Amino acid sequence: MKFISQDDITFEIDNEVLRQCTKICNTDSSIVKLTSTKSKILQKVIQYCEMHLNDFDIPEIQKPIKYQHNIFDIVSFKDAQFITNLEFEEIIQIIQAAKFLGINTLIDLSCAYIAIKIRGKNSQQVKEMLKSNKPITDEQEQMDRDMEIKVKK
Amino acid sequence: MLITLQQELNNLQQSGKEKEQRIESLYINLQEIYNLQSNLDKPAQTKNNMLHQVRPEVFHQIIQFLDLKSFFQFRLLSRRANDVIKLMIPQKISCIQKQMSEHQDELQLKIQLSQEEAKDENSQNMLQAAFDGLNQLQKAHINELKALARPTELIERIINLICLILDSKFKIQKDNWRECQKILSRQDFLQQIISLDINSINDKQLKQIEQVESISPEQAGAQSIVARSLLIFLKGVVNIRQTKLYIYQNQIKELKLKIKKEEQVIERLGKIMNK
Repeated sequence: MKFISQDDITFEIDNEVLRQCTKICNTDSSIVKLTSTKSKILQKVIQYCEMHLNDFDIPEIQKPIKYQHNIFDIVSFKDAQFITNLEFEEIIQIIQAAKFLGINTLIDLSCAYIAIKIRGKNSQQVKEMLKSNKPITDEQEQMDRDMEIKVKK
Repeated sequence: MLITLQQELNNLQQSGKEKEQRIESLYINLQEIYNLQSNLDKPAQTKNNMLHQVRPEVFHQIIQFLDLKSFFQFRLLSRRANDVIKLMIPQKISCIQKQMSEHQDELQLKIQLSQEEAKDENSQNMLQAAFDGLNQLQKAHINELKALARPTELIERIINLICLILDSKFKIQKDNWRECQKILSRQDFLQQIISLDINSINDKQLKQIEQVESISPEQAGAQSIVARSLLIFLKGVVNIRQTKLYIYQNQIKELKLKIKKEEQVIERLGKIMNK
């Protein structure tokens, strides 16, 4: 199967890797266009799927997470290492992509990591944390808006 | 002539003022343009807030991993976060209600078990016997003990443990007989022991008091009658704390506290929902 990212980069993926993608693994189409996912994010999502190529049953993360637990206590080491190496902004975009592809374990992992990061912090601290380091210009904003409208159509 | 000159001067002053105002407004406009330009040149000053990118369903998923305290805190993050929390409240309430009913079932079971255990009067009798032994003690006995300049190691150990249950901050260590003497000199020393609330002894104290299990009353009695009575009392306290009845009663207390907290949380959630 081929994935095409927002910036028109094509990724070829084995069907075995696709097993985690519950929404598209049983479809007949050979090309999936992810108009709202950048290649950098898509690459990370594919990396996660490849990481779990041989994992048939990934254990569910317990809800809610106990206060004394960190991410290394609740998920496997490779998952914890994968998620902790990502920027907050990337994680949020990964969630959107994982939602589209139906990778529920990746959504859970990302949400659990965000929950661990924001727990015990007041609203101001959380807002600060969610501020992107990446600047946004008017042109960029307009571009994103145009893209969203295009996707909705 | 003078009048015309005066008028001309006035006109010039007027036009000068107008020009000054125009220059000032031009300067302000220029400043604004400069600011806009600098924003475009240095976009780092205008940061992108990821909060607006997060969709409600993602918020919902994140919140599921949060404990109650963070759940309430999350509400204050943004209007969207608050809306999501409000939508999630009924689900959260039903979850807590389920937990609460489980706790109530457990509570009923523990009450039943403790009632059955209470019928067995052995444990109560054991402590009563210990208190009876203490009642026979008199101040003179304590004074005699206090007057010892160098007590034997065993007596010192027993008195140290007695001091520990009266004062959780008391530190058991060698050669602190003087500290023990201070406590023994208390006017109401005996009364304090008799009226001791066994529940107030914390686990750390209890662990240290458990040392008495290795000492027999005969050993203590051979050295001092008072030490023997105090040892029997300590043994009684340890026995009571280890009885099933006591354990059940403690569990019942904890469960009642949990249920109360859950009720309070449900009430709080209800208030937020109805706002």
